[in-house]
Amino acid sequence: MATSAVDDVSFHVPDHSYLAIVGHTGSGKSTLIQQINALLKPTSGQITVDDFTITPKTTNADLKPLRQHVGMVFQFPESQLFEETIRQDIAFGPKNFGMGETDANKLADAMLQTVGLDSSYADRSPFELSGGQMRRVAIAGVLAMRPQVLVLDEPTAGLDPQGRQEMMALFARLHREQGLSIVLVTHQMEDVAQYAEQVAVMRAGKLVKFGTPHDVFRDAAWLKANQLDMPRAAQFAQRLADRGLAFDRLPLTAEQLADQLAARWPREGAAHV
Amino acid sequence: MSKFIFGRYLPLNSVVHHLDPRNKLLLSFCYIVLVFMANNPVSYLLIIAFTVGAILASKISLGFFLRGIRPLLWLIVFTVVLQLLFSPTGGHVYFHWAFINITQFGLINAGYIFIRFLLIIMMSTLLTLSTQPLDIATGLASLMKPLRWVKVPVDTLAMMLSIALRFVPTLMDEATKIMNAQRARGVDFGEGGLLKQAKSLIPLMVPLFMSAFNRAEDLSIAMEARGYQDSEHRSQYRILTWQRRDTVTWLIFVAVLAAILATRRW
Amino acid sequence: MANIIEVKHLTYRYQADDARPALDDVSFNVHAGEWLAIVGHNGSGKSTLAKSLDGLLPFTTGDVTVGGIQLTPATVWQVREKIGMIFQNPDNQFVGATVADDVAFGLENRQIPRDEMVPRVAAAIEQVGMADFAHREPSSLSGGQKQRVALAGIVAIAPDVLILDEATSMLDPQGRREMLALVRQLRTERHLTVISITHDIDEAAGADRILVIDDGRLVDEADPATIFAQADRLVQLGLDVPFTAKLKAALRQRGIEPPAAYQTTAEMEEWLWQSLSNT
Repeated sequence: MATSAVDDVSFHVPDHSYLAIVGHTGSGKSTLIQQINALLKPTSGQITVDDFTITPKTTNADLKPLRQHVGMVFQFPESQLFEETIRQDIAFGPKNFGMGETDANKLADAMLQTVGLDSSYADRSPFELSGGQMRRVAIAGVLAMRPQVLVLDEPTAGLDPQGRQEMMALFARLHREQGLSIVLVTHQMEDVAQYAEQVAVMRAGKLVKFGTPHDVFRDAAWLKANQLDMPRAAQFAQRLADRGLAFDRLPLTAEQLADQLAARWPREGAAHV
Repeated sequence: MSKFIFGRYLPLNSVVHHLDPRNKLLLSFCYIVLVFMANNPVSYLLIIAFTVGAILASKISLGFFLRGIRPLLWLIVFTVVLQLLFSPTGGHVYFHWAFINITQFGLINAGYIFIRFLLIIMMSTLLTLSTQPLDIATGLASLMKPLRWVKVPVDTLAMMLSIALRFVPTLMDEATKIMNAQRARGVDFGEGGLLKQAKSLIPLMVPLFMSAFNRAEDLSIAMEARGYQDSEHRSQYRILTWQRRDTVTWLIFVAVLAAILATRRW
Repeated sequence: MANIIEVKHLTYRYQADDARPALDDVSFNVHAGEWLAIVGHNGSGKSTLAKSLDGLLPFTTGDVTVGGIQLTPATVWQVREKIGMIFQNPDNQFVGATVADDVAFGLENRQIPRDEMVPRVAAAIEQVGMADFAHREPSSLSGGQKQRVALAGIVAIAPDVLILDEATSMLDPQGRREMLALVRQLRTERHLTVISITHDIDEAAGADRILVIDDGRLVDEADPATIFAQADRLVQLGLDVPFTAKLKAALRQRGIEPPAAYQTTAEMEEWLWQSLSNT
C-alpha cells in the first residue's frame, strides 16, 4: 500500500572515504542519510556503521553511541542553535553524550577555531551572527561530538560563492587531516567532481549507480536520462571531444581539463611564427 | 495521537461537505440548544436519529466516529460519575454513604448527561471532519461581521486566523526537522522524568520560535510588497454561497425542533 | 532608452547611529525593458537595495523614482503598483491557503471586484503552468512550484518591473532552470523590466547589464562581458566567476596565455579548437 521512500538499496563504503549522494529532489537521498544514524529505522534490511548495526528492531537506548559516531549536519543547520552563548551551543552535544562542563567548553573553543571563527565569538549570542557564521557555529556543534562519520545535507545551500567555497574546503580539510568519513548530499555537481571519491546516484528511492565520479559522469546520455547535470568542465570537454579532440579520460574539473589541454598544447617555437 | 480525530478534516465528496460553513456553524450551535431542550427518551431518540442521519449523509463511517470518540470516553465517564454521585436527591435511594447518594433521579440524570456529551462531541466532530479549517475560519469571520459595528476588527482577526492555519503544516515540518537535528546531538525527547522531558523541550522551542519570528518578518515584508495595507479595505476572492441544500437542512432542523417541543415534558 | 527606475545618492542605515551605512551613496538607472542583474556577497547590501526600491525600507537620503513617480511615504503604494517582488524563501511569501487564494491576494489588496478577479487568477495560474494545482495547499508543493505561484501572483497584478531577490537560491538546479525560463518567457510576453539579485553566475551572464555591490557601495556597472573580464576582481569581492574564466586561470598557471577578453563557452571552445588544430 504505502510506497517505499528508499527501496532495496545496498552499497558499501570503505573507512575514511568521501561519498557524495546525488539525485533529484524526492529521490530518497534525505531518507537514506537519516538511516545512517537511525533517525529513521529501516523497515527491512540493515545498516552497519563501523561496529554499529541498525535493524528494524534496534531500540532507542542502543542508539546513543551511534549518534555520537555519526555527526549529522542538516540543511540550514543554523536553525538548531538555541543556547545563550556560542560556546554553550557548541558544548551542548558533547554534554549530552556525558562530557563534563569544563571539558566540553574547552572542546567548544577548539571547534570554534576549526570552523574558522576566533575565540572572541565564544561568549556572544549565536543569534547576533550572520547566516554564514551561524552555520559555522552549528557545524562546530556537530564536530564537537567527535564523530567519525560526518553526514552533510546540502551544507552550502543559501551561502554566497565565497562562503560555499570556504565551507567545502573545511570539509575537505577535515577529511584529509582528521580522516573523517564524509557523506555529502548535494545538487552541486562541481563539488562532486572536485571532492567526492565515491558517488551514489539515487532515483525514485533506488540506487541506480554507484562508483567513482568518473564512472558516473562518463556517460552523458545516461546522465541526461536521469536528469543529472554534468560538471561544467566535463560539458566543455565533451563539446571539444565532439569536434574530434579525443581525451584519454574525461576531465571533470577546470584543473583536470587544463592539464590535458596543456599536455597537448603546441610547444613554443614548434608552431608557425 | 493519530487516533484523535477531533479537529481533523476528512476530504470526501458528500452533501454535508458541500454545505455552507456558515450554515454548519449555525446549525451546530442551534443543535447544542436542541440537545439541552430534550428531556425525555422520545426527544433523545429524535436527536439521535437526526445525528446518525447527518453522519450517514457525510459518508464518513460510523465506526470511524466511534473509534475517534474512544479517547474522549474517560472524560465523559468522569463527568457522568461526578454527576451520579453528587446530583440532587430524589426518587428511590439505591446507595448512601456520608454525603454521597446514588438515587433514581441521579441515575437518570447521569444517563442523559452521558448522551448529551456524546451527541455534542459527535456533531462537532462531524463539523470539523467535513469542513476545512480555513472554511471554518471564513465562516466564523462572516458570521462575526455584525461585530464590526462595535469596532471589533473582524477582518484582521480573520486574516490572522487564516495565516495561522496556513502556517501550521510549515511549522510542524520545521519542528520535525529541529527535533531530528537535536536528536542527532544526543537529545532524548519524551524520555526520562518530567523535569528532564521539560528541559529537552528548550532545544526545540527556542529554535522553533526563532524560525516563526523570522518567517513572520519575511511574510510581513512580502505582504506589504504585494500591496497589503489593512484587512478592512480588501475585496474577497473566497466567498461563501448559501445554496438550496443549506435551506433544506434548516427545514429538517425545524421539523426536528417542532417534534422535540411537542414531545418535551414541560 | 527610457529609464523606468532612477536612483540618486541613495543611503540607508538600519540604525540611525550605524557607522557604516548598509547602502552608501548609490546611484544608477534601470532602463525600461532591460534585464539587470545585481551581484554582491551576502551582506553587501544588495537585498537592502532591492527593498529600498519598493519602499519596504525607509531610506534616509537620496531619491528613487519609479516610472516617473518619486518614492515618498505618500506615493509608496503607487510605486508598489509598478513593482512585483519575489523573495528568497518560497514558504515565507505564500500567504493564501491554496494556490488560487495566494494568487488572488494581491488583487484582493487592490480591491478588485470578484467578477474581475476570478478570470485574472485563473489566467495567471494557467500562464505559469500550475492550472492542475489551483486548489492545492502550499504544503503539498515543491519550492519551485511555490515560486511559480509567486510569479502567478505577479502576473495577475501586471506590474512594469519584476524584482527577483535571490528568488532561485533555495531551489534545486531543475527548479532554478524552470523558474528562469518562465521569467524569460513572461518578460518577452509582458514587456517586463527584470531586476535580479543573484549569486548564480549563469543567471547574471544572461543579463543585459550587471551592477556589482560591495559593502553598500556600487563598485561596478557594465555589461556581463566587461564585468567577467575582471575575474580576479570578482573573486576578491567574494563572487563567482564564469567557467571560462576559471579555465583561463588554470591555463595561465600552466604557461598558456589565453585572450584577456571575456569569452563565452562557445567562443572559448572555438579559440581552443583553433589553437590546438593549427599545429
